[in-house]
Amino acid sequence: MRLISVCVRNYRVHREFMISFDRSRTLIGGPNEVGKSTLIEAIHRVLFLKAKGTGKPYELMRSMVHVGVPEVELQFEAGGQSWTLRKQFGKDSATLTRANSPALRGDAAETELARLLGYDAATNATTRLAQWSHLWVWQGEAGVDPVSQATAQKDTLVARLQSMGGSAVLQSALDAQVANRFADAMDLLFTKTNRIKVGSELERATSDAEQAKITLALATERLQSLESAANQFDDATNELVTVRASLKKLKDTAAELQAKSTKLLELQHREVGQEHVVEGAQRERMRLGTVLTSITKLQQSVLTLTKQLEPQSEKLESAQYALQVTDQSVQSLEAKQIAAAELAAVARSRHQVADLSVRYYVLKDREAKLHDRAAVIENRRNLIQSYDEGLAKLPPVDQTSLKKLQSLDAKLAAAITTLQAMAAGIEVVAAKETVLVDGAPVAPGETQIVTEDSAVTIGSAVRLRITPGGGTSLASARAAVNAAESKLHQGLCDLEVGSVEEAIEVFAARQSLTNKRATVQAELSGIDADSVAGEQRDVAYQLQELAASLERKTAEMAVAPMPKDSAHARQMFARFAEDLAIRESDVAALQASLKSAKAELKALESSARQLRTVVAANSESLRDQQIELKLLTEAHGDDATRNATMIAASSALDTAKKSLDDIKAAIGELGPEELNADSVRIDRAIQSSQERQNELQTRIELAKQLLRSDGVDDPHAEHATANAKAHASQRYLGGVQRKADAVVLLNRLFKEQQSQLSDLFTQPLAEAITGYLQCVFGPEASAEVKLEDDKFKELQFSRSAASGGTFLFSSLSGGAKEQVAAAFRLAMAEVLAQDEPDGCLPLVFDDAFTNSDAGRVDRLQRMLDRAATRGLQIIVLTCQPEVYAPLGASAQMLG
Amino acid sequence: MVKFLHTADWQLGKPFASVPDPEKRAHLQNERLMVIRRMATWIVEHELSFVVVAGDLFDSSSPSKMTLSAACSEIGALQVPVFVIPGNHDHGGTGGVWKQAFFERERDALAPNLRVLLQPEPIEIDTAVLLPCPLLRRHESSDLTQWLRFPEDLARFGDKPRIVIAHGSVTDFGGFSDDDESDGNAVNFLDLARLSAAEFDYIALGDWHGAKQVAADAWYSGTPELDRFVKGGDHDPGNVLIVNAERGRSSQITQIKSGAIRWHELAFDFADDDAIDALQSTVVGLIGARVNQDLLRLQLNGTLGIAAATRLEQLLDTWTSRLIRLKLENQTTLAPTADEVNAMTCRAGDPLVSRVATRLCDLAVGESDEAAVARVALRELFAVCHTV
Repeated sequence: MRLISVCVRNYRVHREFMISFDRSRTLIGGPNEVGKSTLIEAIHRVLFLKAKGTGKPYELMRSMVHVGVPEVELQFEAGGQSWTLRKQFGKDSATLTRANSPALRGDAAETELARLLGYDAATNATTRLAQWSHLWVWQGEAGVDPVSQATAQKDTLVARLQSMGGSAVLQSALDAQVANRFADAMDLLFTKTNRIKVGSELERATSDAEQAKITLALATERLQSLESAANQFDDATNELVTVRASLKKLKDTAAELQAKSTKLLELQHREVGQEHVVEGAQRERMRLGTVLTSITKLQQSVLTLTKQLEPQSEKLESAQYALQVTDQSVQSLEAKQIAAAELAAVARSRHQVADLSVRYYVLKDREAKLHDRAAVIENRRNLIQSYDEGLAKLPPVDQTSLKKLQSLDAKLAAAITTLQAMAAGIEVVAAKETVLVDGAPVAPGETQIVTEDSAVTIGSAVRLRITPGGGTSLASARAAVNAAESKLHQGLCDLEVGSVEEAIEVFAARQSLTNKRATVQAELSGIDADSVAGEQRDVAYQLQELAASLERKTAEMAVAPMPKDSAHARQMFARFAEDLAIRESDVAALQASLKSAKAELKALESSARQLRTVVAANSESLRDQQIELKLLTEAHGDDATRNATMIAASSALDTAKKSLDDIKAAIGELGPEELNADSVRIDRAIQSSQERQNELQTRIELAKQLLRSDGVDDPHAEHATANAKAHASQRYLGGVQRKADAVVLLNRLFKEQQSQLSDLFTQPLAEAITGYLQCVFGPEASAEVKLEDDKFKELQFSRSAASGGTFLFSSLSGGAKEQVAAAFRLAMAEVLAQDEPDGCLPLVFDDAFTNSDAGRVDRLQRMLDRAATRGLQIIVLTCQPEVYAPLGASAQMLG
Repeated sequence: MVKFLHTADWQLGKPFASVPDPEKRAHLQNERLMVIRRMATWIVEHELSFVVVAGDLFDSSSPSKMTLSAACSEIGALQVPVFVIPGNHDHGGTGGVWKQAFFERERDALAPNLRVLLQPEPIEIDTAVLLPCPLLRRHESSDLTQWLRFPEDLARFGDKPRIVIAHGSVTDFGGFSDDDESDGNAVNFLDLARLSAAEFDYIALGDWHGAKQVAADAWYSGTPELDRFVKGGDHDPGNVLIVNAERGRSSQITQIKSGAIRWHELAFDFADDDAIDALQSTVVGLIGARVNQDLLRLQLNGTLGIAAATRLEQLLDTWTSRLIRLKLENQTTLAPTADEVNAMTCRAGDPLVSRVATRLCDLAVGESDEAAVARVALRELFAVCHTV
């Protein structure tokens, strides 16, 4: 189908407009609102909307400015023929004319038109207006997913693809039925989340198998419990027989032990009694033995004491004598020591007076020397004061001021020399008349130096003006001389001198005085003048103290000779010191003798005291023992009587002991310790056996209770049944599971094969899209089209990995959507056009690439050109016709 | 001389747990009672003095009350004394059935002719001396006939025939037990060779379920009604023995077929799909048109096409219904025929089914679980393709 030309009249903005289309590429340009979109809308309306009709689509066609019904006349080729279609909308005027044939009118025209375009003539206006949406890219719809349009064209497309794919047939009705049957079976078995469906055969079989397993476990447990109870009953019964026999034996043994214990108790009672008898005999015998021993010991003791007392008394007497002698010696020594001490005291006083005298004269000597030093210091201080006064009287010329003065003087001399060098000398060598210079006469032979303009008058007739050289310099030299004189004068005034020479003299005088003063001051510093007064005060104080001490001492000593001078004092000091040493030595010797004598006296006193105690004690003891011996002899008779009594007591003791030994032997035979341990052991064994017996009886009773069948069913049969059921249900589950696995496998295979078939089927379309995409996106671009469940799936677009790999259409940018959608439409049109006799379908792009950048639009034209080259009729409407210039299309401009 | 009925291994109350249908189970259980009822006829017919049950009268040591009551009722109906020793299934030990108060009450009420021999000691009755070797626990390590090796003076019983009653396995009999509980190890071993043959006139044995003579005067009676698929070819279950015993003479034994239920075994290998017909004929030959009278253990091997396998399933379904139990060991492998494979994989008009079937054929090769699943899937696909 190919559009040839269109003419619109009274159609919205168009009064009458006619345009012819290129067979391959037409570009319709023009600014906005000029009626480009209206034009292609008019073509669509004339092809698909009946001339007869009312409603919004018809109203929208009407022109607001032009009078008359909207009219469209279209020339096109279809089915290998040329056709002219003319419709006046609202007037029920439709005419379809094939070349060289009579025109068809009205419904006949509409019906034939529908046949030519391949749609149902009976469809309503809404469906008609949706026709060719895959070919007609309305303004603003370029980015819409073209897959929905492909699905709308699915039947035609599928038929076309089927013819292109040769053997690649999608699926038959039987295929679909079989696949659905297994999909239904799958739905019965599994939920959408692939879990086993509750109530399904598989779920029931699984549940039954689980339940059977539980039942078997319970039955097994019950059976094992019964068998265990039976074993326990048997074991406990057997053990009970053994325990009972053992218990009886233990009780017999216990009875024997009891009899032995009774006998042992009786023997032990007798043993206690006999032990008392033996103890009594032993006590009596011991008492007699003690008495005999006491008498013998007393007799020996009296004898020994008597012998000891005699020498002890003699020793006491000699000790008392020695004590007396020593006491007298001590008293004598004490008297001597007192006398010597008194002599030493006198010598010490004399020595002290001599010492004080020596120290007195030493101080006196020092006092005199200090007095002399003080006189010298006074003299020197007076000298310094006289020098200071001399200096005070001289003008204050020091070395610095003198040098300054001399410098000023030199400057003055220099200034004068300079002035004189500039001055002119007027020497009167000989003159008859008076020569006056500046009024002052200069005699012949005299020279007058003038340093400034001077008038020289020689007589009355000659008046000369002498101007010394240098001009203004002369005045300046004169000023310098004046300034120097002024400064020198000021310097002399400051120093209070009349001339420089005087200043030099003054400076020399001041220098002399200053040197003298420094000499005297150095002398004063050498004799430490400041400390002399303090020393004089100290010496005076010490002398005063010593004089007082001497006065006190001499007052104490009546015969104290006072030394006359220092030498005498020293002599006396030496003599009295020797005397004092002798006296103190005597005192020390006497003190040592006295100490020794006192120690001897103390030792003697102690010895005598001890001797006295010993003698007294022994004497008393002897007396007591003699009394005791006498009393014992009176009580126990003589030696013969005492011996007889002793023999009788020993015999009684032997008899009692033998009887006790007999009883002990009898006890030993019974083995009291073993008997006791055996009793404890056997009692323990009896108790343990009884406990075990009770325990076994309890176990037997418990086992009996467990074993007592209620007879409702047979646990063995129940177990066998449960076992068989478990196996059967497991087998059944295996079968059901395998069948379910088979259904799952079938479903998986059907889906896989459907997908593979679909891929084969849609391959020509995908390849066509890929061809167009590569024009824009390069050689690595490709498209994938899937047909699932009778619908095209969302288009998948792949680019090179570097450009991001694979995208779904919905994830593309606005511009890319336009481009990919255009590729899809072109490919779809290319596939569909193959049903057309001329292999052509028109594709209209109304401002379809508004989101694409300039570079892409450029490449898009390559894509559009490819479509045109492959037989499609491309019509591009744009408000920027210059952009599409490279398309090489036939351009038509509106407005 | 005395004539009596020797039987054993009634195993009343056996659950037959592997029979899935509860009614069929009850039927099998009931047949074990019915055979006792038939014994009454033979007792009268052969003028028998008493009945000896050589162990395992009950299947377990804790049968249900219902089983006890039914057993006592049937035994009571026999009218002659019935002497029973406990076997390994219903041993006389602790917690066993024989000391349960309910049993004692039911015995007193319904079967006063029943006497349970729980002690290894001679029992003298009018016509004979019974020498029981009761099992007092499930597994006895010592020989229970030991007490008969040096018997007390049996001469005091005069010329009354001496009848030993024991339960267990014997040396000359392969040294294994016929009990389905034992795992092949010899238990409850009876060393009959150590007994003096002259001292005893008949040894009534229980435990082995086929009728079997094991010594000159020693017999296993076997179970009167089969309770399992038999082991080995010389097994002869489903009998009772009528014993004619006399002191000092060999006993005369008459074997009576007593069982009603038939237990069959069949192994079949499918050479091709047509062998299905042969299998059908063989099974019909075994069970005829009977329903609920037979059990069949069927071992199947070989390969079958999908259609043949479907037909086999239908047959198995039928036999499962008719038989008391079809114990099936089906080792057949599904191997679709070339036509079947073509019918699924070469469907030009149905590309999807063809492709799926081709994939399944690839996956179905081998012995893995995945291959087995793929074969099931192939059958399912085949079936669905033929129904839509």
